[in-house]
Amino acid sequence: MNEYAAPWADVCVSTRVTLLRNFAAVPFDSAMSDSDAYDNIARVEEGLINTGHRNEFTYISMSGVDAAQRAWMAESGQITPELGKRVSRGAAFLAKGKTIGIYINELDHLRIDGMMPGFQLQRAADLAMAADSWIGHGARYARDAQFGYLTVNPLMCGAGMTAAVTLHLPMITATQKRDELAAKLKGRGQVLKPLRTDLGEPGDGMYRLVHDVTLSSTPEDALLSLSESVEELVTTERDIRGKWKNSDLLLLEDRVFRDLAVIEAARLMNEKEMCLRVSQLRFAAASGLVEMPFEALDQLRLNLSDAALNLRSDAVLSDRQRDEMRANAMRREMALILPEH
Amino acid sequence: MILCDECGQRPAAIHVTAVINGEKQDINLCHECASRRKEFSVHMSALADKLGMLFRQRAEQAAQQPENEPIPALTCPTCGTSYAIFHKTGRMGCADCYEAFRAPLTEWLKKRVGAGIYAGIEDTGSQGTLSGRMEIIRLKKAQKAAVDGENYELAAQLRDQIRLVQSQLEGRTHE
Repeated sequence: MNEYAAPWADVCVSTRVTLLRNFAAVPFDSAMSDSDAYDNIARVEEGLINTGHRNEFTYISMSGVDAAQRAWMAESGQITPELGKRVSRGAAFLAKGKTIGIYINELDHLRIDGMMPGFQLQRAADLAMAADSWIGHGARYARDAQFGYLTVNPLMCGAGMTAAVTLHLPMITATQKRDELAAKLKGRGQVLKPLRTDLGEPGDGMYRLVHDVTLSSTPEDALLSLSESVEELVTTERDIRGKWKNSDLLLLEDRVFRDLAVIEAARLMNEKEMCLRVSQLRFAAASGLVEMPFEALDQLRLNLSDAALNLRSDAVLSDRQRDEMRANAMRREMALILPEH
Repeated sequence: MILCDECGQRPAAIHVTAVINGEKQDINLCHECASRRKEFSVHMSALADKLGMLFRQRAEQAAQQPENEPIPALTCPTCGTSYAIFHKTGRMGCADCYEAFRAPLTEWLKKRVGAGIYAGIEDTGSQGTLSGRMEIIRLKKAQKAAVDGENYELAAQLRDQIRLVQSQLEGRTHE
């Protein structure tokens, strides 16, 4: 397996803990004026300045970036897709290490994300809560003794927290254990859904396990429950991978290297196929058959998305031009991974 | 009236846009001819799956939102959002809506969440304590499992770890 700093990176791509907050005495999204929206941004900046953290963040106003950049930022997880739609009022403070995102004037006044590679739920929660405390240092949040933190959607009040882990589960998908596991997780209030719902059935085995940690349980209990579910999924996925490798290594090698040969041969590759091919590479790396850091593969999947290729090109690309660019880029990656080929 | 591209006699009932060798082609077929072509029968079964999923989703939504749920004639004095608007959109207009709609909203949440409502995490300024508390819960579970398994040496180690994390948390709170 590859050397990689993030825990459980062979299965877990990333962890994200989100806090939803609204400022007291400021109307919510539907009733808010432009002046209120501007004040929300100023309040966040003031909190960061007063607690000595402003220099750790880059400020981005949605009105200052074009549609292609917004699409790329949403695709790569730097901003939320919802914020990308809020061109006139939306803004974000992004930590330079990409570990904290403070999104302002989304559906709620604030969405504070703590983000970590691999599986690091506690660390992601700490990051989000740290940023929450910096902003809340001088500002007052809308709270209620009965309902907790008040949010636009009442189902999100209480702790105003959600947590999500992105997982690579190709073997659970291939052996059709996904539905059974998903039904079990649903009973714990957790939803296992494809990472890219727009690409249809996830042949790439990429999922997000989401837990809305808001009402009826403490954040600690809810996050621990999510943690146990992730552990269960990781153990199951690793078990199936291990059994295959131990029972018939030759067959595993045959499958993996055939998949890699297709990448080397392809001259046109659409986005959906690219996701599948990168998934195959990630599986090959997890099986120890190729040397490539998981983080580089996850970045490759983002860099070859439609949004990324559109941003990189000066001219408007046709589907066919994008598919050709993508296939060429994949072949270059293969030359780096398997130089002897 | 558009005639079927295949038989040229019956009226076309199915219109398909296909991409063949990178070129878009519009195909018009009658039911009889479409049913004879395998590729369209696959599309139709996929369509039936999607429709089935749509109906299931609608049924689940209906189950979550009982039709006979009473809609009280309440309006938030601060932002003017009525309970009827909230009931339709699921969105509040401002923080004061929670006060204005407290009683029906409590019922609304109970129906959807079930148990009591957890009123949220404590005041900000609790940096790092959430993960500390998670760690203590995790260690206590492991300690119980160790005791149940009569592994007292491990249980003692875990007890020391719990004390350490607790003392760190208390130190942080007093800072």
